Amino acid sequence: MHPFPDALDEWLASPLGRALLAREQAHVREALDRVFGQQLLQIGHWGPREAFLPHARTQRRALVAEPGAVGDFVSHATSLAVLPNSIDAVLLPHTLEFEPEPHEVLREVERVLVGDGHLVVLGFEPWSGWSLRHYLSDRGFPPGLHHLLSRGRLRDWLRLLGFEVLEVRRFLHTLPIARLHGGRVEHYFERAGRALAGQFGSAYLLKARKRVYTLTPIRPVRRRTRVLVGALEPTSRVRGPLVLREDRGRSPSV
Amino acid sequence: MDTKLLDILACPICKGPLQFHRPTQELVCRADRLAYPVRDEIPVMLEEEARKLAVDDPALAK
Repeated sequence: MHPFPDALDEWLASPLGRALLAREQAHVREALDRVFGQQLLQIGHWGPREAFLPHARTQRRALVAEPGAVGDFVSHATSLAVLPNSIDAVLLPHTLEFEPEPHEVLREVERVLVGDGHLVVLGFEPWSGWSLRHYLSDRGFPPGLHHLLSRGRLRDWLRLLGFEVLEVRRFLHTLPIARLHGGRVEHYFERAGRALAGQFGSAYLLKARKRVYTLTPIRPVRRRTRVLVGALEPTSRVRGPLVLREDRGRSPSV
Repeated sequence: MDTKLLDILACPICKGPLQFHRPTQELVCRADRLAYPVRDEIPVMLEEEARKLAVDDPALAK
């Protein structure tokens, strides 16, 4: 739940917020490019409703809003009002960073996703230029941000919940200074950052897939019961007196 | 209210299915006897906002 929803919306509408959103939109569009199915769920609002949902290729899409925010329905992220195994893809745009209990949110996501369902998470790196501004800010940066989650911890949690991490992208190589965004400088920073320090962006996008392993019942191998020769089939299929005389001395085989 | 949402909406407590009660514009969970309001076409699926239903409440009638 965002503690300062108005301040956050205001920040996302600022030049710096818009630049971040535009970059994230491009990455989310690529991440959702091959995600199909019936329903996509975005948990938590981040910018306008149309920021990410139009990029989804599922037949239906819905935005779950926190109390006080605008969405398709209102629900707490830690107790989602969604049926189990009913969602094909979930998008968490910085939702885990605004929630005091991010692990509970992930548990709910795991519950509502169908087997092989996709999860896309956007987050800020705890050790980066942007996080530095968050630590120096009174009420978080962007406003209301509760904590930062490292990719390692997120990966670990997801693995425990049975997810397979498909890809992690790092982006946002500029500093959180509005002057550096929205022009050739930003373009230069991003291009140079990708080339020189691809693993050191300030933000990340993580794409994972819920894996479900079904049990395969294995039955005990029973010994084939042997049938007494002669009870169901004739003792000898060979005709002729010569062969019969040869068999006379042997004990009947079982 | 977007009726397609009914395919995915559940009670946030028991995660069971809901029924839309048109006269009062509420989503009813029969198991927990709770009615979640639909305000301005937006379902509010919060336990603290739900109305507790009596046993003989018409919303629970089949």
